[in-house]
Amino acid sequence: MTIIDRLCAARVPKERIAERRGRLYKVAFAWCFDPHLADDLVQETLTRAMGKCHQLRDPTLLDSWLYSILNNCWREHLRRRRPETGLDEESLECTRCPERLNQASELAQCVLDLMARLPEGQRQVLALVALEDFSYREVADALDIPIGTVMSRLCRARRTVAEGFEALHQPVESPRPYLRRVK
Amino acid sequence: MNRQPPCSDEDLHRFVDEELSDGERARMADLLERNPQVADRVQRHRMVDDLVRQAFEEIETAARPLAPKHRRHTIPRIAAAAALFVPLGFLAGWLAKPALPDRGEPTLLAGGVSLERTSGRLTHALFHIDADDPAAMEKLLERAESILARSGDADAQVEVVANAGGLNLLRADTSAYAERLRNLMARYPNLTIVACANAIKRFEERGTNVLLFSEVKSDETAIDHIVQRLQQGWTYIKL
Repeated sequence: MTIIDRLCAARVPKERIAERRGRLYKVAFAWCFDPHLADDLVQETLTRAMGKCHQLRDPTLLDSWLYSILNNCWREHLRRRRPETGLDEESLECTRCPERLNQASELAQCVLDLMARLPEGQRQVLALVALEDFSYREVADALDIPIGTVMSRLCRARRTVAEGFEALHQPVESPRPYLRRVK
Repeated sequence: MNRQPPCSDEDLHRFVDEELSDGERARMADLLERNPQVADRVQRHRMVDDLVRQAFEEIETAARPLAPKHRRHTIPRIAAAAALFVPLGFLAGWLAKPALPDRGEPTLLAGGVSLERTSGRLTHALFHIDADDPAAMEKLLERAESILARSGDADAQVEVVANAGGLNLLRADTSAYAERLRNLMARYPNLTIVACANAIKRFEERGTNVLLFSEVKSDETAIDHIVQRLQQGWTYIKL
């Protein structure tokens, strides 16, 4: 009955917020690539969301709202750790040589690496579009950026991941011919 | 879309993400049908999303009560990566598929679209849904039904494969589409529904009992089934 009462009051029940944990975690992980940090970000997001769920008047906007809170938590974290080197600035070398790519776990790791090497803004947009099927408008609202920026970041992110994946994948399928002196 | 072909990359992304208006979308679909290079670019964009989705499919947080903070995450990253073995292997193989038989059958695209390259009829279609998305399911059922209805004399074979969140749409007890699915299966013997065995296992591990109609096949994983059908030349349609 509590749930019904809350729904009637156009509120989002806390259970519904808690149900989003898994999805939030995936996106948080895609943004920061640190399992412990992702867990903390999600925890903080859920705690904040539950604390002010009465502020969400339109329950259909729950997802955008939650991701905008997650984005705030992530921004705050980045501000706090500004002196450190961010993932973006790090040169994350993909140390895997192509001939090892037939090991699919390597391949999986490679996709994760490619995501991790994207600039942070692009990674955020790609995660929301690919993992959450967000519309451009929803992404723009959640991240508080213009819709044109969403599109340009998405274009660049997809292009980078595709090129990176193909570059690493290509040599496995068609080994590069080597030159040999025959005379 | 205001521009005439060749269209901008941005338009292709908007097409992939269903951000175009109906008119723009129809024009784009027409362009894709006529221009394989553009269709390849669309496929490439979809591939990225598929790769990312598959890469993150197994990444999950441990369920925990909301009160305590800073509990350690329990899924080591390496285990998550190892669990990706099958789907990514499939995607890699699919990416490198230059030898896919070209028999005038529809062009395969990774998400939501199949393009008939010539007048070849769509007779063996595999629909794949992996998200608990009523809009996608609605679209899937409409398209599956239209293929079945057009084929008339049962020479068409249509299969619907569901995994991950998509499994919710097949559940006999909770899905809003359960009844409609059962009616379709009763009406069309050439319609097969497959529920991913792995997904069922994962639901059960979380304490959710998945109730399916007896006609629904659930003895193999979605990825095995999809690979098998692709090898047999079926048209793969991802919703």
